[in-house]
This record gives sequence, structure tokens and C-alpha cells, in this order.
Amino acid sequence: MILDVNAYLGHWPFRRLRYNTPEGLMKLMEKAKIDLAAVSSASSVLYRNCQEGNLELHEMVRGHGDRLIPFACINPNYAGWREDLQYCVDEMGVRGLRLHPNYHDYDLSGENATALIQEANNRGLPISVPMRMEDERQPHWLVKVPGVPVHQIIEAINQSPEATFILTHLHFQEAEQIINACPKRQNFLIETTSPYLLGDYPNHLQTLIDKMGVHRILFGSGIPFKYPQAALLKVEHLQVSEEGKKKILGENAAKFLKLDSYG
Amino acid sequence: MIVDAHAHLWSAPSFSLDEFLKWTTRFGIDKLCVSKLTSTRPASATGFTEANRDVAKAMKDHPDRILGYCYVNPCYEEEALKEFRRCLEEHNMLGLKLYTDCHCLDPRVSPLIDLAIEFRAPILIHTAHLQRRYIGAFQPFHGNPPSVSTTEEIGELARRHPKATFIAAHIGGGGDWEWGIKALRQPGNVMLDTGGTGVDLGMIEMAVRELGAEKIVFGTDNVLCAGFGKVYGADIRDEDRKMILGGNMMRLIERRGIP
Repeated sequence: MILDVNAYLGHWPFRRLRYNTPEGLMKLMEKAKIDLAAVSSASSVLYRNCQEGNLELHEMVRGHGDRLIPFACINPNYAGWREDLQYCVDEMGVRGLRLHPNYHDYDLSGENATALIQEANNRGLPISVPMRMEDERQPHWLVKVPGVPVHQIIEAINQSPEATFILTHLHFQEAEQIINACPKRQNFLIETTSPYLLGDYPNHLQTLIDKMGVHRILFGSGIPFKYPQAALLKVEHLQVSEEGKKKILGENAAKFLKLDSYG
Repeated sequence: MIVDAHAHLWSAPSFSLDEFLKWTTRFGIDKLCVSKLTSTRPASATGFTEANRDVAKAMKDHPDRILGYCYVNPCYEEEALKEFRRCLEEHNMLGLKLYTDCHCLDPRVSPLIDLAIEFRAPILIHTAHLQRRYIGAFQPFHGNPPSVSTTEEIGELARRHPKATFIAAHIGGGGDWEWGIKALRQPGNVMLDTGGTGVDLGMIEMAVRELGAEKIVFGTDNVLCAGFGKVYGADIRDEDRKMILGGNMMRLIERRGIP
């Protein structure tokens, strides 16, 4: 079973996305042999009111619960976020949050974000943080958004030890900084999208596994922004047992998303 | 046949050619077209000569696997030209590699291009897929000096030298790849390599649609998962994928007269 923890539906303002409808994404998943995907709204990243993106997502995933697992995008600086979160949990059945502090202009370790993280934790929802949505070398000329500052991640991990953070599109150097700053914390997981988390030579992903163990690495590819085959190849070429690969490709994520009770 | 049109040798201890070859074998690469850059740039004449010596040795040690690009800094006019000729004649290198030491439209590049034409040698140029006006502003992210050549400028170079064959490097190397592809629509003598860390879905399909599969060559820039992931994942015809993975580059190798 392959579960992609970093997937999206909806629109991206700066370039055409293909396969960004439920049917399209599932076709892409079929081709790459990905069984399940944790999806959030790409539109929510730049909507002022990101809940509208969640509502769009709700419509899109309806009837596809066996393949598409909704994640809610919540902005803790925006009016009504507690009610929005409640709606996403009660009505959409979201299995996690996806937070974009860099696009939504807040500090992940600040007061509002900490309150949101607490609410998520109370509901047993992991918190996915995409460090970036695009390669910083190709910003739109009007919109230049830096990656999420690593120090915010470190502070949030330390401030909320009960919460579970899934760090996506995280570069190797950033991962090293976080591991070094939080050597005893087990409450963060690392995902495989980043092009600067090489899976060949030098094999950064192997280095992270040696440091963290296979149980804290999750497969994610960034579909439909990215070709999923790049991330799949990283896992395929790891020097770990077949059991370890199965954990990375889906079993670890299934545990954190509590998929035994899914559907 | 899989040919990596854009690979590098680096220096020990962070790089081991044996280890790199093991990985490329595991991924099924038959031939690697490599250059070695100097660790500090702009390169000195001594620096690029030593780097080319390492490439020549790798070619000699692995004659069936490794083809070499001669790397020079065109600002060293006579020394650069002499080194390129030596690499072609003595070491039977495939082609020329230009980096950011000197802008591609600088007149000092022209004699090197004339020599490449004489030997039917392709010229691989490090390329910034960014409009010139953003090179300065985005420098902290892409890291290129102002002397870097943009895709549009390589297109202009190709128009000025219609008998030469150029390869614009790594469409996945960061920057606005859609702009980069469109900037290469006109000249017929520029190929595009697929290398770099970027794996944005749609990149290869657009390159095939806009340029034609016959103008695209597979390259990794030593990043194998990203290099293969985008070509394997692209929604293109299998015959186009074959051309990209090896057929097109083999044509250039044969044209150069390398068996």
C-alpha cells in the first residue's frame, strides 16, 4: 500500500496544474501505483479566506474517500478559524491539518498558531507543514514567498511536544538543523518531496533514516505539482529492508492518520 | 540505451567516481557525458587544465562508460582555445562545457565555437532559465553571477552560429522553465537537457510539445532520482522517451565521430 502524504487538489495561480481534479489526481496515482493520498486545497494557499478552499475540497473528495484523505488548511490569524476547524472535522472528516505559515503570514511558534496546534492535538490530528510550495529559484515576479523559517519549526516542535508534525518539502540541510536542535523530540516526521533531499548519491534520505529510523520517514511526492516518480525512486533505491520500505511508503502514515478506523 | 548528457565529476572526499558509477549502473545509465568544474570560479587556466586532466583519466579508465566535455574559461582566450583543441585531438573528448566564467555572447567565446564546429562537437552551456532582468534580484536563490547565460541569450548565440550544436543545460535547474522552453522555440540548433533537481509535473510534456522530442536530451546533473523521475513520469509517447533517454545524444556522439 502506497500512501502519499503530500498531495493537492485545486488551483495554483502561477502555473497550470494538470491532474488537479479528483479524477485527474486518481489517474496520476493509478499510473504511479499510489493507493491513497492526503489531499488539501492548493487554492487555499493563496485565498485570503482559506476555508473556501476547504469547502471546494469537501465537494471534490466526496465519494472518493477510499483514495483521497482530506486535510484542512487553517489560518489561525483569520477570523472564525475555530469554527472552520470544527466544520472540517465534523463535516469533512479531515485526518490532518496542512498549515502554510509563510503564505498566510504568521509565525508557527506564535500565540495563535500554538492555539491551533493545541486544538489539532486535542482532536488527534497531525499537522503537516509544507516548508515551501515551489522552488524558491522560480518565484513569480509579483509574489516571492520564502520557505518557512527553520527556527519556527524548531520552536513549535519544542513548544508542543504532544503534537505530531509532518514536515513536507523539507530540504536536507533544514532537516539536519531541526534534528540537531531537537535531538530528543520524536514528534516530527519527515517526508520525501524535496529535491534537496537526495535519494541517490549522496543519499541524504539514507542519512536521515540512519539518524531517525524508518518509522519517522513518510512517502510524499507533492502531486500534482511534481512528478511522483522522483520521490518513489528515492524509496526504491534505499538500502533498507522491504519491511522498512513498506513502512515508509504507507504503513507509517496509516498509523499517524489512524487509517485503521478510516472510512 | 540511456545516455546522461549532463553529468559531473567532483572532487574527493565528497565525491567518489567508483561510487557514482555504481549508482548510475543501478539506474541503468549506459554512458555518461561528464565535465569537471573547478572548485573556485572563475576558473584559472591551470584550474581548468587540471580539471580536464581528471576527465581524461576517467575516460581512459572507463572507455565504454564515460565521454568527456572539455571545460574552459573563454576569458583565457588562447589558452582556452589551445586546451579545447588538445582535449579534442589528444583525448577525443565529446564537446565543450561552458559555465558562468564568461557570458556566452562575449566575443571571446566565438573562436571556441568555430573549433567545435570544425570537430562537430556539441557545446553544453550552464543556463539560467530566468529573464535577464531577474538575474540580479533572484541571485540569492539561484546563486549565479551576472555573467551567467540565460536561455534567451543561448537562443541568440545559436542564431549567430547556425552550424554549431548547443545544449542548454538543466531545464530542471531552477528558474522559470516555461519561459526557458519558449525561449528556445526558434533556433533549430539548440538542444535542451532535462537535468536538475526540478521535477515540476508538465515540464517534459511542454518541452516535447514546444520543441519536439528530437531536441531534448536526458541529463541528470548527477541528481538521479529527479533526473529519471521526470522522464519516466512524463505523459509522452514511448518512442519520444527513448529518443530523450539516449537516441538523441547518441546521434550527437556519432556525429562527433566517437565509436
